[in-house]
Amino acid sequence: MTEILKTKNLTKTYQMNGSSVAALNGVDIDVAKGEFLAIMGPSGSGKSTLLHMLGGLDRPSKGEVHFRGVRTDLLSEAKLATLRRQHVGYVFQFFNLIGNLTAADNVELPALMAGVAPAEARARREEVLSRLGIADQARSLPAQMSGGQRQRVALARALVNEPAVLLADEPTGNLDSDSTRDVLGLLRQTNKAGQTIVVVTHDPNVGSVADRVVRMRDGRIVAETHLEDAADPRGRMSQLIDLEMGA
Amino acid sequence: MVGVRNALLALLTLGPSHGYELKQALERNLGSVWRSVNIGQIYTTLQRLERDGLIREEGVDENQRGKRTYNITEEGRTELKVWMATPTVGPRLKDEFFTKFILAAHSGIADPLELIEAQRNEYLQALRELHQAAETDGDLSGSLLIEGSALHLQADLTFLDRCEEQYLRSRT
Repeated sequence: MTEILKTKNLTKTYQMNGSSVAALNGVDIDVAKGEFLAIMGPSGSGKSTLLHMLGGLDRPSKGEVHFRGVRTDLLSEAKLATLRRQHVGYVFQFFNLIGNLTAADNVELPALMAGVAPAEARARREEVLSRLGIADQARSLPAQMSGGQRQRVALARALVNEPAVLLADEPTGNLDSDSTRDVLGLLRQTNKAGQTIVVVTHDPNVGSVADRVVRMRDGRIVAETHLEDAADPRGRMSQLIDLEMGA
Repeated sequence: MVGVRNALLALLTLGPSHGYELKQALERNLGSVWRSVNIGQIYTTLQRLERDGLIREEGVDENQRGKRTYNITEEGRTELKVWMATPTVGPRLKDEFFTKFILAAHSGIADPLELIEAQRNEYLQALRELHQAAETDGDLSGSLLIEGSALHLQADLTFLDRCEEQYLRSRT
């Protein structure tokens, strides 16, 4: 098992009205290469803060973050920014696409910013747009697309630099059931192709497609479970439906 | 009803008791779920539990007009622990989970937070398998039934969150 991310005694305290509030309270977590991990827990349990620390968007008050063996909590701002651009992909609840750029340009931009040659950036963008089934939306602006399509574009943008880890914060939080199913299917498919994914979510549908679910409460990890694929999904389905129907 | 059996065992972990007292304790704790348990059912269940070696008659309480008092045996405690530790299968049996949860909180026989966690994992696993089934099944009735089951599971998971919040609040 190759480890991509690891934290030791990760702690984050915020000052609020003169008193200090602990958002993270000594979190130890490992993320293995190729893993699909979900972080769940009530609002305010620290799950988004943890995701930000993992992705180098924020720094801990105490403790360590190791990204492929490098202590990212000790890196300079500039080095951290480079590492984020090249190796970390982000998907957010509200898509965060650039409104006056087409889907294709939104996807291509991070490749250019990471220093990829324009021709190569274009080739990558075409590949990822078609892999995620949105090649025909390439010239649309975000405002012309549905929520589900926008989240696909956001996912394409996050994947264009082939990041070591894809981090997603409530990726289905703003989607209807059909779009949620699409995005879950894409996350599963991306993970099956080898992509390491860490997702923070309230949505049990998202949690259920991860291979490991950790649960946070009051800034701590309080439980962990491993989920497995059913040997016989159809058999299991009949059993569950019988229970639902009261048979 | 398997629940009455386990409920009586759970209540007996709090100390020796007799049929009528147990009925009252049941009504206090689970009255909202089980209005229909009558005293006859309690006595029959106690006899069966004694026959199976899960409880033992402690004697006759002369102050209580000669009522038989029972105590739980080691075998009884073991059976109760196994029941508590086993997540309920499927979303339609929430009442059984709820019974366990209330009895655990009341008697201390198991950690209610651990029960919630085990049940949550069971539901998440079921939800995963439903999503897998959805990928293999294309027809309308199949996919709607899967969606219906998934929605029930989500409601059950939300209910577990509420149980957890309220329980944590009740402890402080």
